[in-house]
Amino acid sequence: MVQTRVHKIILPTSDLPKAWLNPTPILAKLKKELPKPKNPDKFDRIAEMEKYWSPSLLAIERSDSVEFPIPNDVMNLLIWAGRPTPLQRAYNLEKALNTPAKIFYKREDIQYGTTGKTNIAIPQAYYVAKDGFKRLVAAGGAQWGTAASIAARYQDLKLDVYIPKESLESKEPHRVVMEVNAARVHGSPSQDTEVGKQMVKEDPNGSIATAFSEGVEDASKDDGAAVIFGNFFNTPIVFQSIAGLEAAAQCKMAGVYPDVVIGSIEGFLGLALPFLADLAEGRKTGTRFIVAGSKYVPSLTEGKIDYDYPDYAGLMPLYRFHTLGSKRAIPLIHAGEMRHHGVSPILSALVEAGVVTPKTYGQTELYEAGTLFCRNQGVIPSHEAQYAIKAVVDEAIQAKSEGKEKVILFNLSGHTMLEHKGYLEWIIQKKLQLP
Amino acid sequence: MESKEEKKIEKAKQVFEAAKEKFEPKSVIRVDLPEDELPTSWYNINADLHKCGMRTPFPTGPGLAILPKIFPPSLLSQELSHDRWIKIPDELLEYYKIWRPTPLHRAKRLEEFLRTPCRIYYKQEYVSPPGSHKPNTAIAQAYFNKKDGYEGLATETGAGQWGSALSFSGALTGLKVDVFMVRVSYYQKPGRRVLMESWGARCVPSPSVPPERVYPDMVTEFAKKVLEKDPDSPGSLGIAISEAVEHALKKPYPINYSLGSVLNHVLLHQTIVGLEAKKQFELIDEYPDVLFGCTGGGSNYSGFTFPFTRDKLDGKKPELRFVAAEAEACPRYTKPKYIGYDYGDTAGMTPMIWMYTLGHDFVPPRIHAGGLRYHGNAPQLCTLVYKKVHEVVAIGQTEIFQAGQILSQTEGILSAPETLHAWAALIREARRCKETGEKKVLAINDSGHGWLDVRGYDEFLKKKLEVA
Repeated sequence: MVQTRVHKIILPTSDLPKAWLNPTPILAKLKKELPKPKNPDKFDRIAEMEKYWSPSLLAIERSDSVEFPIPNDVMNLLIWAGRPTPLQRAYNLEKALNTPAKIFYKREDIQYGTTGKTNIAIPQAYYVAKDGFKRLVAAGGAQWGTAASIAARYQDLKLDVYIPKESLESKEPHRVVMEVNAARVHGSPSQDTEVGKQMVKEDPNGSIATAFSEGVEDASKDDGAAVIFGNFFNTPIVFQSIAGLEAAAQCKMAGVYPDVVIGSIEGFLGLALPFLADLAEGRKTGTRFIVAGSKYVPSLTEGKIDYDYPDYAGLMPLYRFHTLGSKRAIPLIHAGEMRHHGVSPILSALVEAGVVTPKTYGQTELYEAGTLFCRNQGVIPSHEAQYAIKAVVDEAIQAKSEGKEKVILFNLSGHTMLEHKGYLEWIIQKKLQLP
Repeated sequence: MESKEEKKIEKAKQVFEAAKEKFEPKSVIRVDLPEDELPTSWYNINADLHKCGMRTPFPTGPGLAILPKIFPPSLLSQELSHDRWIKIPDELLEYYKIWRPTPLHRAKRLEEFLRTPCRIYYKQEYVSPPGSHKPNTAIAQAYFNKKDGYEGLATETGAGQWGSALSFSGALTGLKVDVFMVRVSYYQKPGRRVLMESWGARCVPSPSVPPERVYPDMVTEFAKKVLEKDPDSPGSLGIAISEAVEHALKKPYPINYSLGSVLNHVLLHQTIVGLEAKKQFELIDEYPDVLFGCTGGGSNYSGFTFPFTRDKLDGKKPELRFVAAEAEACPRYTKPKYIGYDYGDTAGMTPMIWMYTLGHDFVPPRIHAGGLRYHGNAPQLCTLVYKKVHEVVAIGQTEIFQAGQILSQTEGILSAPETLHAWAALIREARRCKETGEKKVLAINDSGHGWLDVRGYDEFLKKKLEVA
């Protein structure tokens, strides 16, 4: 007879967070000011941002406020698309690893777009529509495009999506979902923008950085359009904080507090923010933070911390972050959302301050961890989520050797139903192009 | 003075009405059931079916003899049971809790789009890791087989939903799973095979022989026979069933056979969907007027509707309606060849069961809803349709993808082509109610997502659907 155990901690909708957290003041309290963006030459790229950002979002991007109240309409739509998500205990995985660690994962995969990206897309589309724009431009990976296509329909906005050309081909089901939602999808570098025509000669596969450049050009040329980003900037981190705020409340319900918080570069900050705030305010000490990235895109471990462009063509201001160089062609790892030469300035500063520990992994060990997870917990994780899982497995094994009953919290940022090429290489062809 | 007073009263009435509106279940978006409210027994329709005026005729024919050789005793006893409630073992509940209970969601944005006075609710079965309702029975079958001492399960799969669900369940319970996948689908939908093998199952095209059949102990005589006649055979569900049954009978290791629909124990396991939904409706003080589902073998539709059907059979809800949606291309209810005994598979190895049937040799057109391409249906459901307790509508492919696009653009969900048949039927009813002004509560089993079947949506958008 098995004892009745709680697998999923469900937050009542009445207890949903009322405000998003701003990472900037948290970072400041951790004794690290966020370096301001700057212009490389006389062309005022900072002022130019007003041509392609929606004013409400730019205000959030540049704000020092501690938090931003979540409008009711946004909250309803977030609930629509799957919030609050369960916090789940990985009993089977713990058993398989024979670890004393308690492993909890935030089920961001359960949402309508197969990932946690709708957390960011829905509020951004809301503010863009509120500011009076008629067309949305989304620049990022395939998952971001799918999330944006759902959000654009909620606000009745037209939508153009720029995603890396390689992702458009290898993650084709995403394109169909976007098109069902009436989006126009461009594989970047495309022939549809001037900057795209130039970049195609240098980096035909494209990356998040080329998609950024094209999105910026498209939105700059049209007064009725604004571009939204799914990573790098502060705004996406602000909106992702809802995942962490829910998780914090759910940990409380479960009577635990994480000893380690883990996420991939793509899914880390949103989950970690409230716990980083606890650290900054001195409410908790000793919490460890791990961010997992690819050894093929080792910006946090091998990149230099310097001012660089977030986009390939240099249409945006310079920001200070761990970078491999904006002109670098990014290897074709399966985690499309992580094919960027850098990380967000906030994450960069947290790593520089020693608050967050970066780890990098090759793809073989990632697929091993992903397979272990799906055979025990059921969900086949997205390529991005595998990074977090690999780090979790390492931590759990370490806990076993130390005999410590530590609490591990991680972000299951998505599942893989819309993209299976990586698993095809791993399981069927038995040969990963990038091991 | 009086008129002023009257105005005041009128105003107060309005305020009161407005407040009442607010407290109606209208503001509810989603109903989550806590884990400890998970049903602890399944509902067996066999106990109440006779109240419709007829009992389901027993299965018959020489095929009956193979049943004990391919099913474990625990499942066979469920198959034949007439107990109303069958307890779900605690250990099995632990597995269910990995994804259950599933949410009940209000489709308010769809309602607004349709301008219907109806309230629409959908049960989100797609949130299971394999993405459909199928694991409700797959995990139960895996659990009971394991408990009765078996080490593996053989099964067939068409589009791949069932094979995925059983592979997932095998991984969780530690059971080997051997899947025979209809050859044409195997090559058309490589993603499904990737999922199944990720969960540790072995998946082969049916029919095939070595070297194409990479697992030598999965070779069958039946596949050889079929390929001798037709070396390019695209395969069919019937052939795949026959291969899986042969494999299970041959027992290269202690292995049984597993079926994903039609049989009573499958419908039984699926009633967890309807039992949860009933509790969720109670929580918001609602009761549906019409329930919708799609039917291929009948399991998701029956699982959702049978716990409510009981209220109608008992006379508690005489007006309650049930609408099953089938594919126009596979119209066993709306254009049956006959109503009576037929085989469950093409080769005629299974027992004969009483049902609405298109004939066991019927080859349906290649519609995207692979799960609805079955010639017959669950006998219990056939009985309820025969006695007019349940209704059936047939829907064509263009209409389902139109419904799918509306659904995606309003609610944000991308449903499986099978499930879209139910949605299309629901949308018809919601539009009818708009004309009549009836404020009905409509409920639907959103049985699976379409993320692995986007090809159909793509063809629809490009206006290239083979079957309209």
